[in-house]
Amino acid sequence: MQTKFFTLTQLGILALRALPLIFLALFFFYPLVSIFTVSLAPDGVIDLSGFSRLVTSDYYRQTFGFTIFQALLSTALTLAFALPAAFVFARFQFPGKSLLLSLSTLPFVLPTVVVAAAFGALIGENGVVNQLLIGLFRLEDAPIQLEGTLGIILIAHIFYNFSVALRIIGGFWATLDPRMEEAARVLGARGWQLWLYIRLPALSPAIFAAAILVFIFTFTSFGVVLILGGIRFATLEVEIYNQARNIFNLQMAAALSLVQIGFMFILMLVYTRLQRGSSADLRAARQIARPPRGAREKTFVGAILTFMLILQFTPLVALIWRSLTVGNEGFTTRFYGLLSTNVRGSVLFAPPLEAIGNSIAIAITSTLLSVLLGLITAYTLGRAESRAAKWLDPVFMLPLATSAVTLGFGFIIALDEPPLNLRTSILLIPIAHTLVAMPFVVRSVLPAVRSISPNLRGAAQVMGASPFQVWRLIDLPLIARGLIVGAVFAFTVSMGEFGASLFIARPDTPTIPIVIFRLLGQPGAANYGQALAMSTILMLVCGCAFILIERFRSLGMGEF
Amino acid sequence: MLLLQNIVRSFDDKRVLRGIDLEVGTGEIVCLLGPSGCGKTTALRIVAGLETADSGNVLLDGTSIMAIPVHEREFGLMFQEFALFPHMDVARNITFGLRMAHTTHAAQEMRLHEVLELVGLQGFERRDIAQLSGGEKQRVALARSLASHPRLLMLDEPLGSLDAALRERLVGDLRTIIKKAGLTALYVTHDQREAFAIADRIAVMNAGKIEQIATPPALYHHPGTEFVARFLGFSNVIDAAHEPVLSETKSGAKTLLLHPDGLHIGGEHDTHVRSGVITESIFSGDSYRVTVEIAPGYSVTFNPRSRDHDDLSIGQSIWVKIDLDYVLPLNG
Repeated sequence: MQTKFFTLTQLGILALRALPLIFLALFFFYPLVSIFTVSLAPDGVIDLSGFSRLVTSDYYRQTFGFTIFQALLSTALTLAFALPAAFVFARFQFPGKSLLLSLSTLPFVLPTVVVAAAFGALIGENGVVNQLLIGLFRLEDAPIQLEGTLGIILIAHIFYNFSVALRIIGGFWATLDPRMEEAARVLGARGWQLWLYIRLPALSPAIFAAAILVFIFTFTSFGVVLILGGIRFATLEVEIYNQARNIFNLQMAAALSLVQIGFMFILMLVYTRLQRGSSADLRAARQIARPPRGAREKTFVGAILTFMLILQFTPLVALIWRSLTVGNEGFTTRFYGLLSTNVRGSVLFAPPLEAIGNSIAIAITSTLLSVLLGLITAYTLGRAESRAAKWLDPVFMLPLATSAVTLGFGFIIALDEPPLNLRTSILLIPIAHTLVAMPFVVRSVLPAVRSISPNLRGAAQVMGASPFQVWRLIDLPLIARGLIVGAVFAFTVSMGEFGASLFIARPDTPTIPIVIFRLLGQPGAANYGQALAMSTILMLVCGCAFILIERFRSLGMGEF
Repeated sequence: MLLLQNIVRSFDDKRVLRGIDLEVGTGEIVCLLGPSGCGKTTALRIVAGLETADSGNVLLDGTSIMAIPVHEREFGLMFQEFALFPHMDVARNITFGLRMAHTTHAAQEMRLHEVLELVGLQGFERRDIAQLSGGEKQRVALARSLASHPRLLMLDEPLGSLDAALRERLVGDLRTIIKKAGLTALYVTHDQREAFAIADRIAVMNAGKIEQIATPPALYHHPGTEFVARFLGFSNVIDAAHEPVLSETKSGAKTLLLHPDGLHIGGEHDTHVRSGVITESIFSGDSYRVTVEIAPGYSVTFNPRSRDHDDLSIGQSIWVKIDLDYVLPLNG
């Protein structure tokens, strides 16, 4: 009886562990295979015409070229700004440092549509900056014309990736031995020589890791380019969307997706290799950091911090401000009121407020799903010492290496026909969001699972705790923080997810980001005001989530 | 009474335990002593039920406990790193086992104060684990493993993570407390001094086998095998070919231990003396530690008292007197 019970339990555990793999197989690998099939053999026979057009057509070559060009430029600019800031955070101590550091991660949780709307509100044609300049200098036209230019795309990318680079480089920097520099000084090195021969070479692993991560993020940039870049600019992501949604050329979209996937996998591979040597925690900085001394240092630190504050907070303030002042009526909450009404002739089929309900329901479902699957995955990866865990780990991270647009595209070509027809299922969006959010849950919970000494469980068992009691009384309290952080992350990711949702959301059940996107695309102050009001609401939701995450997080960004 | 019968265990084709037989009498403290990797911790974990044996049997008071899952064995176990639950305070750590057994709240409180008094930590109930010093953690861990009146107390290198001075102080207390509680205990360590101080009997383990079981004095004075002799730090293990006469008196043993306690500096006319040259001499307060080469490949080390000898320097020729009672035949 004893042995039979044991095998039954084992079977149950095995089935539970298989759940995340089954989920990935159905909703990640199956759509991926469909992308391969549609791009290489749309009608069952090998047909490489899509790829030959990719290579021969100037248009696609330009798209590819632009994708790389803007990503390189964004990366270079981000690093150029982040490097001095990393220096300040690694070497200087100043009041409010840790608060500023945690606030700097805020963009990480902000949805792309919100960021795009915020930058439009700040430096767009009718943005706050232009209004101020017009008012100050009594100008006729808006002096800053950035809408639909590369410039505004780059600025938004810097906003997004600045803190990522700051954390990676600054954290690594803080762990470098300052005596290395002192030794070089004693040997006669001066200012620029210190940078060229000591600092930059010593930092190079962190700089490379940060550069590749920023490159990955900007290479797959979708919402920012689609909304801020207008029709003139298309990255691969935007082109996939155009081909699939506007031109209905699925084969072309699939071919582009394949290029995208291949490129991303290579980049992720390089990144994980580099990351091993460069992850560090910025909190170690306190040991060698000191207050700035003298006018020069104080000015430098002050300038960097002012730049950070302007970069990170003026767009958000501008968004709130503009959501209350669009149109000619002065200060008004009219657009928030409009959200609950179904405007006739609107692009939407329902009052925008319904989208909030949709988004919350979807986010809760995605959170539950990704917490359940992520928890199981973390245990599979954290407790198995076998080789299996070694190759399973990257498998579970694959969805992170796949852009949201590719995921969404894969869904519409794979899951809207038998054998797995989910086109009308309300679960389609939560499933897609779960794919995107699950890696975050795994990364939040895994370190906690790994840190539980097996002896703790053994001690509880010897004292009479059954296996379930061990989990409930020992494991659960110890992983609770990681689990909460992961859940809030999942919730935030789902609330803000744009790329995949744009493909698979049904017209009558849009999410908040989709409503914002549609409203931004329409003329008129009423539509624009509502878009900003909606963005403000979403930003506040994500801001609250961010505060929760920061309160519960015990580790730095090391795992990302 | 705890009885281990022919316990065998392999990990990935590596035989970690190769037939362990051991008896621990009721109220007795038996120590498994051996170098790391000898299988002592695996043996303990098999008794606890945290590990399974490939074959063999474990009996407690005559009944096999092999089929009883860990959490129903009602044992106490103290780990090397203590394994205190970081998310519970001292009181909740100690009463964990009582709560698992659904003991009444009043009984829990009473027992909590009993064991806290036993280990000398009255007033520590609400302390956080992180606030405790190493010695305090050790006491809490001991109190926790005693609290549920375990049928068997197991201790896995319970002092291993403490510094030497603290270890020396606590090892005596540990024995007193276990004896006061009247518990049967199985104690695992790699430190012979700890084993000497705590155990009623010591089982020395080597590569998955028990080499010798004896009381601490018997083990010290009569190590039975070459491994035990060397593990206890005796270096005078010599090939009988160097001492055919001595070998004959020990029924022709192939290997002999010249116990350092039986070696003294003598004179030319004493019985059983060997002449030799000092090759190493270290002064250490009350005694010297000298190594004397008697013949090529035949050296002995022993500890003459320093007050009896003014000067023992390298290169000096001396007579080494051998006490026959301390010439021990060694097996394998």
